[in-house]
Amino acid sequence: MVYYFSQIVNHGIPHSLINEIKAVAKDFFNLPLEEKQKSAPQRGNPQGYGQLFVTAEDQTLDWGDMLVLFLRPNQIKNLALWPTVPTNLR
Amino acid sequence: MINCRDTVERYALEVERVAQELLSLFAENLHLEDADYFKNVFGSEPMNSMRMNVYPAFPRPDLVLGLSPHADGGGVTLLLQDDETVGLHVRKNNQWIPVEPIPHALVINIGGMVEVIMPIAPFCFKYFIS
Repeated sequence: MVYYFSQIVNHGIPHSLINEIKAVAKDFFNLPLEEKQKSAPQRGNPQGYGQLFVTAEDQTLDWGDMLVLFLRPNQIKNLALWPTVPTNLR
Repeated sequence: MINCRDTVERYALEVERVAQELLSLFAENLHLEDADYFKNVFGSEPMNSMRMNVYPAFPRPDLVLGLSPHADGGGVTLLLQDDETVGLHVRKNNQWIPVEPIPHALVINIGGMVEVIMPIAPFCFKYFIS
């Protein structure tokens, strides 16, 4: 069997940008709940801040918070749900 | 200070570039005649969605998992792991293998949509997050 799964390091994405995106994510999840809920999904659309849900009775509960942002194509991008609190880059 | 929107937009452009390069390499390695094979399949403006996840520590790991075993749908997933915690595991030879994070590396997982296009081998990985 051939496995097509890998970790790649020479991808050309600047390390500074990777640090930035991680800082943005970390800061978002550390915001107070009221602030995060400004990104709550609208009308059944999966974009926004929320939790994973259980789809089957015998399923172990998934325990996590997530923020889903559609980026492309432009017409499905919902900027109203994007966090607005700026991040202080350390 | 950095702003989320600006950072996400710049990161989106970079991951799209990497994803296109990977898909071209897949096409080449599969000896598809057209290096733009996947580009044509997914169109000029392929869907790109970003998901940021946090899995808080939980005192009863027997009751919860960060994320249950699953295979990714879609085309290709480019994952940035947390540098300090091993969450991601992949299934190999009936064992869950932890994926040790490499700083600034991307974990590439091939989704169901690319898997079905590729008639060669089972591509799709099952993995879970502890």
